[in-house]
Amino acid sequence: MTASSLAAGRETASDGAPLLEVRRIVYNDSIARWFVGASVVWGIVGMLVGAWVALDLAWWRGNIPPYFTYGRLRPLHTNAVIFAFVGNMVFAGVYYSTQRLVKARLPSDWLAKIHFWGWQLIIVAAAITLPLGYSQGKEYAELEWPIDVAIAAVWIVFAVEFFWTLARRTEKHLYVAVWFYIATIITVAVLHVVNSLSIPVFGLKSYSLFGGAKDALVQWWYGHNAVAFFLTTPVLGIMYYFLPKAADRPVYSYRLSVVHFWSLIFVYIWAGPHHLLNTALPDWAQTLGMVFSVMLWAPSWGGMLNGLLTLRGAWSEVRSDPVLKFFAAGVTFYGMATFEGPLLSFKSINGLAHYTDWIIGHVHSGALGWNGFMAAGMFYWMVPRLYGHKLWSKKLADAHFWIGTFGILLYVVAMWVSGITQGLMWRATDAHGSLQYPSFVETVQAIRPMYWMRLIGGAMYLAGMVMMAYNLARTALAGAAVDGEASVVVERAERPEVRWLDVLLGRPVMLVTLVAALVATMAVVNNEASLVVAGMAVVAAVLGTIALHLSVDRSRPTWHRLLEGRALLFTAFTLVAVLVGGVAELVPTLLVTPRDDKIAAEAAPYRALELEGRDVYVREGCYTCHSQMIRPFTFEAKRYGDPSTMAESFYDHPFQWGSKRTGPDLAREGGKYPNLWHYRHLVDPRSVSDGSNMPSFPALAIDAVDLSRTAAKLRALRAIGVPYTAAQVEHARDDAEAQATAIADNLRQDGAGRVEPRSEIVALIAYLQRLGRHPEPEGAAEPRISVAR
Amino acid sequence: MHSQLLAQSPLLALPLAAMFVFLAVFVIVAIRAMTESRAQMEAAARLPLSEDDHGRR
Repeated sequence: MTASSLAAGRETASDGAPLLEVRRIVYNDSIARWFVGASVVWGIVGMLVGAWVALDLAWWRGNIPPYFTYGRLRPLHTNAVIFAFVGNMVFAGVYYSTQRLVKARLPSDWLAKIHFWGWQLIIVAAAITLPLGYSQGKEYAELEWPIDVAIAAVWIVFAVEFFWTLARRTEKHLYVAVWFYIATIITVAVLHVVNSLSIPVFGLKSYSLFGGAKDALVQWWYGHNAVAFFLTTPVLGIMYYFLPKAADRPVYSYRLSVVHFWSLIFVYIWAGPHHLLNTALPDWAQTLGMVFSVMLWAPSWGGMLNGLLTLRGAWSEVRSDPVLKFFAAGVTFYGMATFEGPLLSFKSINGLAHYTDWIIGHVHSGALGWNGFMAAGMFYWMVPRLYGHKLWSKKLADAHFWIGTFGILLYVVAMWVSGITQGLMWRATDAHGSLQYPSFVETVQAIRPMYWMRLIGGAMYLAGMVMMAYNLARTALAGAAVDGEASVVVERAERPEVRWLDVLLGRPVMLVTLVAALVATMAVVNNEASLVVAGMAVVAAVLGTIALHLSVDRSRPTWHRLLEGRALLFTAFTLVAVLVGGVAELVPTLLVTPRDDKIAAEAAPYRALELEGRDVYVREGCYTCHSQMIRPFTFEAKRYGDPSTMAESFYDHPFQWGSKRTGPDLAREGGKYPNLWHYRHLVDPRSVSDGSNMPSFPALAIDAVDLSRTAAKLRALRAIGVPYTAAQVEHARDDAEAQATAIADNLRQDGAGRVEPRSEIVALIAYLQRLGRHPEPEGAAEPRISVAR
Repeated sequence: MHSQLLAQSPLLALPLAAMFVFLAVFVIVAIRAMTESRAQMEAAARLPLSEDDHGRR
């Protein structure tokens, strides 16, 4: 399995064994080759779907219902690009660089193969289930529970292979890139498990364990940190390895990389609530997210500058070497995106930008510029080495760079213009204080040229990807697979190492524990005493740090140096660092619930048919274009009604607050229009809303709801705290049929013709008419206009 | 009332405690990184630069 072999012993230790060994290592580069190939292929597929959904928004006829509508394809696009394109790229980079950094071959070729094929199988499962409408309705976490379980299993395989490699390393010191990989593996595991907690109803249907604001906080804690720990930290590790290699010079400042690592992983985990600013999330959590997002500026730019300054003295090569060109631009885009992110996290700026295309532009400057270009740079560097042949065409790589760069700029500028235009139009009022653009569709038509411009930019970027695929394939075909080899001198330690307990109980750990204990006591003492305790904590932190500094013995390795040689302890401290933020932010919201009377006044479980309609809403991905969260702004209240409250969505599993408004907010949609309007709007949106870019859903009027499963759905929700009575569960089908018949009769009376009561469109209308209102009493025939607040 | 309930929750000391822990760790790590010996830092920084001897087809 492994190709390490003992070649020669030179000196002997006291026990007669050789003191120095020379080992020959043949790296497992096959796995890196496979992951590179998979990343390129899935990258093109994911971006092709991206171009398709961009077309859907510019030209509604691009939607092909029922499987290929915007709402079903958009999750496919995001999942494919994040987990298939970047995921495979990260695995390639991690396996290639880790083996060389720790001077050890991967311990198990079989585990590597299981990892590779397991991940590809998950991607194929996503590509099939998402267009079929199997979705948990949570962004970047749409995949249903059996696939979630498979992701966890494959991730464990990856973790075992990675940490086993570290355990067999012949290089004691763990380079900074490896730290970022460790943080990625453990944090993604925590995020995925917590956010995927759900109750299965049957094969491919489940409900999130959390509801309403709790679900929102958990989801965006996950969603933001998927960006942080799936799209950023592993790629930073890749930057710290491949950029110095390509520039043939060490990283600008290793000291800065130490500070970069710890501050980034500590701060990043807190920033999730900036996705929920000005919503019904408790204000303290919003402020916390905003403050930590602003703090992120420092470590992000520290890392960006460390990367760019590594190129000092090599800028002339950047002009001629496509690898360095991609890396330099990729790191620059990282700087841009991490400048823009904190900026968008200010509540006031977020008030303008949130729900608009500005956020889409921000995301794509990171995804296309940072992830895409770092991937391209890494592939152009790796593939010639993996196949023992120089790059087939540098000119083609240069052309890829320029077409990709212009593509990103077109895309991002289009989204900035579109987002700011829409944000300003939503809030514009005339001299009398009335909305200047009361019709939402007006604001959509105003930005349509920008949607075409975005499509052109995205298509250019996709063309660059195809050029890269061709170039890499020609390079591979011109050469042959090569596995790297290295000789390492391994020294057998004569002196006993510092015990792990001594590292664990080192002075810095003791000092931090003391400060934490003092601050924790603030929770159990009164206000006056807590001020004194806070003062003591600050004094302890300052004096302790000075004492630590003065006690440094330069003849001995520092505590952090010892930690860098201890993979397991390093992993444990990293886990603590990310958990501190996660737990401190999530626990208060998960434990504190709105008062019972608030919930009773503003929320009630959905009736059986409404729940079925809600499932259709989730299946069709309506949340990708419609929010259900009215922010506390005058212009929002004028357009949509009173601001949303935390209690209103208390029983929503999953929450459907949304993150983008290509269409209007629906939080108080119930009762705004008659059933007939909704019927016509769903079958052909342009029949009642001229200029709308919403897909048509004619199949909803034909396909029937399977009411045989409705009781099981209510039962599952009841198990996770939704207060359905036993009778409601037992009579779920009867109640659904009664409500459906009433709506179908109403539609027929209003002129819709014969409408099948069991059709999905009736269930969806029942749900839409319920939004923002009290439930209809069971068996009610006519919709009741009774806004909750 | 609702916001008062949340504002008075003792659980809100959690983020504050975590914030102090972060600041303490940040200061300690920064000082430790700055006081690490130059030779050790340079040796660590050069780790990625070692090349493969050659490849095996």
